[in-house]
Amino acid sequence: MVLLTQQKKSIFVAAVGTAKRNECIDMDRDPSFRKATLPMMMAWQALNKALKSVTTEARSDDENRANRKDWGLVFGTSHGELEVTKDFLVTLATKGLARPILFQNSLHHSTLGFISLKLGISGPGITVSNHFFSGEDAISAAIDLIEGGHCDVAVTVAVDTLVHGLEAALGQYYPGGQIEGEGAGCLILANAAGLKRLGAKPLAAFDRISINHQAGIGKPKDGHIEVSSDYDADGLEKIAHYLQEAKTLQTLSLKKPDGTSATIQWRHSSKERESAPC
Amino acid sequence: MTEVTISGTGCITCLGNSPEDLLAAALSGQHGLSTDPHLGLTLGYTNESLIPSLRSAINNHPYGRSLFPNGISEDIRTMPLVYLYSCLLAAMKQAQWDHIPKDTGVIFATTTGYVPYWEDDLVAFQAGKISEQDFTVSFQDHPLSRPLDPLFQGRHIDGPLRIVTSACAAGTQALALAHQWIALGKVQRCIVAGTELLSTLTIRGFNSLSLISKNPCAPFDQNRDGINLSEAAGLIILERADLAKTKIASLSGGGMSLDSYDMTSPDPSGHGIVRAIEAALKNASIPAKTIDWIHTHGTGSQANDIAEAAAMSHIFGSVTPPVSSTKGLHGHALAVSGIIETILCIEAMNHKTILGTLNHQQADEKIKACIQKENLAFDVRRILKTTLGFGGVNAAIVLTHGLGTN
Amino acid sequence: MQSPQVVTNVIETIFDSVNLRFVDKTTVNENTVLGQGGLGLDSVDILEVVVAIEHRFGVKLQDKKSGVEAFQSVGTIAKFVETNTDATH
Repeated sequence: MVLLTQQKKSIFVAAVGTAKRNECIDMDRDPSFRKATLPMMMAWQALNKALKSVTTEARSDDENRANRKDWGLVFGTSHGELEVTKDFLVTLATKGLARPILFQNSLHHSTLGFISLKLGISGPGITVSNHFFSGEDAISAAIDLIEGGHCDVAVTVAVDTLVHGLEAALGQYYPGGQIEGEGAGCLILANAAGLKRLGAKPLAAFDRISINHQAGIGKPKDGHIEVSSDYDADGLEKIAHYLQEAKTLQTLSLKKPDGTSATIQWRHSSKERESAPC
Repeated sequence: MTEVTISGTGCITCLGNSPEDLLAAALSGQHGLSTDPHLGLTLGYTNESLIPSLRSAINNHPYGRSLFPNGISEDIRTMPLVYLYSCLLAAMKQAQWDHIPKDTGVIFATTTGYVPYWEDDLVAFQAGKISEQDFTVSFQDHPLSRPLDPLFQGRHIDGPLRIVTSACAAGTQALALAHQWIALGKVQRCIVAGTELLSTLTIRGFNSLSLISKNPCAPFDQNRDGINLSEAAGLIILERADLAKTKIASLSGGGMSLDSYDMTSPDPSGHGIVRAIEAALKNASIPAKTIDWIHTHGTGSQANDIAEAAAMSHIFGSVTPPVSSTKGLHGHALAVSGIIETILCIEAMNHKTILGTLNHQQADEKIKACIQKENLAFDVRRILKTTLGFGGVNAAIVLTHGLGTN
Repeated sequence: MQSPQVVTNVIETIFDSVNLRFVDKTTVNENTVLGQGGLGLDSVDILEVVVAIEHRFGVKLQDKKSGVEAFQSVGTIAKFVETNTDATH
């Protein structure tokens, strides 16, 4: 069992959001999404829902960019822009054309650049990619940024998308050798000062996130939910989902296809809400 | 504030396969780049003919044998493992570790991972030339965490693992985060490492953005015309100062920022870089005036060099400390650049030398910072290292002199 | 004044290469500039347009400087295409 994060001071979840592919049809009707990839669009949809639930002016995507200037941003993904990478390589091989926009978008990191531009976030920004733990590590990295004093508010997004024709290659570590899941999750994390600026009441506060690199997590106890992953970076989307559902102290275990797991504990009581600022 | 010591380093680059070789080449002005006659581009390749002997050294090493009980195979795809674990064993020797101690974390930096090994097969699969099963086998190493499996699955390490892939700034970000992990007591020690191999994707991709030069790059020069991509592996061992048996240098702090300006070009005003530097200086609790040498990202691209130089002028005023880039020697190793350049910086610092900027003749007239052209004998105490990346990421760390073995 | 067919083909190539599918093509003509005040394309978009135009019409930019001049507007691209296509006949 490896402790990924255990804070001394509370790091609060101010807002959550999740999104799926079908919410992104014709998004490029908006000129600012003209060159956006599917991961960028899904990240945006999840993020926008989270932003909307925050109660200050900072929630709007165009207004008050100045309010978000010193926010931090973490993006997590396991296989990143695989579809765009495939398109770049195939266009190169079949037509001899190296397409600049495709290459620019092909980095795992390109969604972070896109969100940073769209929202005017110019605090610290990190892209992480840790296979099945890409979602959990994104949260842990955001907590690191806040704990390290680099920012008071950190937006954390994790996305993985299916690529048609590559389901077997992507799903080779999953039961049945196929992958069917994809999605986007977003958490907006903040310390006490950040919560005050957001004018938000916290949903929960993280206690610890730990990773089991070896198979087997033992028997779940009461108040402990165990779920299986259906895509690599889904840790964040699952945590976002259960944070909205749960009302009391919760432990969530996310079982990965290879038997390893992540365990996340948080406090989600009315006591926590009362003690939080604002 | 808890002091963080650099106690061991290892590297594989187009310039040499040890920190000592890197320094020797830098002191003699001998670069490791080559012009590819087919592509017409100047790139930095590692010496693949050395792989068998590197592999053999790992397989015959006591700790190498415990990491790889069956030995690393001769498959070409084991190149990242051979490079990474060669660097690990070299660094461990310097740090006087015979095994990885408890409470050690790992932060790994890469942008492309095993892409060179599956990119052709992906195209072949799409064209129907190979089967789905064959491509699935080829794609098995796609997770960027793959090279760390021997450490974690083999239970040789018990600390947290993070993989940073924030484009070219990843390596420097990894160092900044590792400093924080140790300084705040999350771990006692941390291995920062990275591998980056050249691929069709990166070479043709960067070339499509008109960023690559036909010639060895000339950072900050008025006639600069682009970057030289290179490949490398690098590894740095960081420890809480009171635990380290060897002290090569100190990592004093780090900072990060985003430009929020453009997907690939940096903000020419340099304001984003300024914020990263200010965050690093604050994190290290040191004033700007104590910096003796600024080692930049300095890729030789039009946009990068203008932005970085502007940032230095903003922070340090009209007379900056010597500003240099060593990419004319070793090229741009993407995510690993921050790691191998930090290794080169501390070798130079311990040799009482500020390294100059190979191929730099005359600064671009827009650049007011003091660009160091030649190597300079100097008792360096503090280095500011900056790195930029696509997506507008900026990272800065502060390195401080510290020499000796406890 | 360039040939209407070439102008139409240039516009179509630009639209396909940088995804302007929701822009009304009837608002675009020879005088429309690629950058700010026209189609609003950035430097990477323009590199993309260059690749697409070179491929579609079998022409090649000789150097960066002539490229900057040729890729100012729809009309300058059409002129570049016509000039270089004629030269090969």
